[in-house]
Amino acid sequence: MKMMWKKMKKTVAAGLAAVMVLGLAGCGNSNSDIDIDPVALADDMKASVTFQDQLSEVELDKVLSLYGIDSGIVDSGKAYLSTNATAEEIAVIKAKTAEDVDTVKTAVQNRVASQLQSFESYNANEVPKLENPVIETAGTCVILCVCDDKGEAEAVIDSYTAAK
Amino acid sequence: MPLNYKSSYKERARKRNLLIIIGIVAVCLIVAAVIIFTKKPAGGLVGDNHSGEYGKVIERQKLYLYTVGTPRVSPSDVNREYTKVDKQVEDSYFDDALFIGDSRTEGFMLYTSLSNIKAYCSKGLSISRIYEDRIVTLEDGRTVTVMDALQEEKYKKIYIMFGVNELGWPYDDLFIEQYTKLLHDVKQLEPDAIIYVENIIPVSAARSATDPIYNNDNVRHFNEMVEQVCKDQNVVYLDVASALAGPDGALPANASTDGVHCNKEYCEVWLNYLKNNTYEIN
Repeated sequence: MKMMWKKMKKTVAAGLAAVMVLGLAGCGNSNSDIDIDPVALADDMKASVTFQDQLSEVELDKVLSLYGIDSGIVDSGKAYLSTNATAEEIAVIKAKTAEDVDTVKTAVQNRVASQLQSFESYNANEVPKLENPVIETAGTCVILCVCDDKGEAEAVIDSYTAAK
Repeated sequence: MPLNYKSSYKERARKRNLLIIIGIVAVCLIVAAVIIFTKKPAGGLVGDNHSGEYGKVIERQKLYLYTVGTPRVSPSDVNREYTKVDKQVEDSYFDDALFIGDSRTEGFMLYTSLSNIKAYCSKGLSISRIYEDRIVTLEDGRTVTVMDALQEEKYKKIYIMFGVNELGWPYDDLFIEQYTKLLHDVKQLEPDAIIYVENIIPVSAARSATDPIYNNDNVRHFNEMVEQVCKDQNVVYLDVASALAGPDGALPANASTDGVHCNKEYCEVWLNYLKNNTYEIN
């Protein structure tokens, strides 16, 4: 009886350990192992988020140049930019490797900071959007959305990260 | 010791006479100086016959120094002649071109299908701020003004569009002087380039009707000045406004969100105009 109890304890402990390992692995998936299609995500945000301006797709190479990102570290991506009437913007840029994600993210943050500096004197109505942008990473993707309602953009992003 | 009254009297008289002579000479010198320095030149030069023009020149020079800081020089290419190319050019025409401008040019740069386009532009940039704002990042990482960048990089065609941010300027003279200065300086820095100046694109009718500054009467007035500056500086004036305006002379309502900045479709119309309006130097 005592032996059986010991075996049961070992089995339960092993089971709990396995659950914890799998759980942790699952958490890891939500951050670094997700593989998002940047084009689809950008298109979905364009379709689902409310924008005041007419956003149009801009060639990825032009956007990378504008953001100061070396195209050599980028796998793919898509961006919609405003007419300059507003600061609204969508960009989803997928880095080639996990090591390049921080570089891309820093460039995106710099872009927002630069836009903020411009719009402060140019069109102050846009400042709140730039002070509170959506900047997220999922897998090797860096996601930017400058809009009035962050919740709308975050809901679209969640639908991609939760499904994986 | 006995006093010598006679000798003392003579000494005082001599000193008095000396003082009188010195006084007379001093008065004569002062009178001569006043005559010399207050005398008008014979024939009454600028101060007389051209007092109006002279006054204006001084005023304009002061304005120029304030806004520009360097003397105006006549353009060295005053005899340059241009011939319009009678066909639409390919995208490759812009391989060695540079666009300079404000947020409208920034939108043009991003939205058109040109992949080889190079531009020095920024939101709020104007013909005065172009000398101060460090908006160009060079290959070595330095961030410099447009004028500094032009000292290091050479182009065959330069397209310039300014004016919308200047619509609120109260002094026409200031606008003309500053735009003249800009074109002159660009020509000096880029002697081999053909300089195209794009006029100011109108705003939408709705914007024009409600805005005391960004309205089309103002745009037309400033475009007259732009055209005159282009003639004076002998550079090519491009009437981009005519290509983008509707029958009422305004930017069509569907061309823009705010009535000022063109959307992608109208940036392509703009590009099409540029491709159909190129010139060669004879």
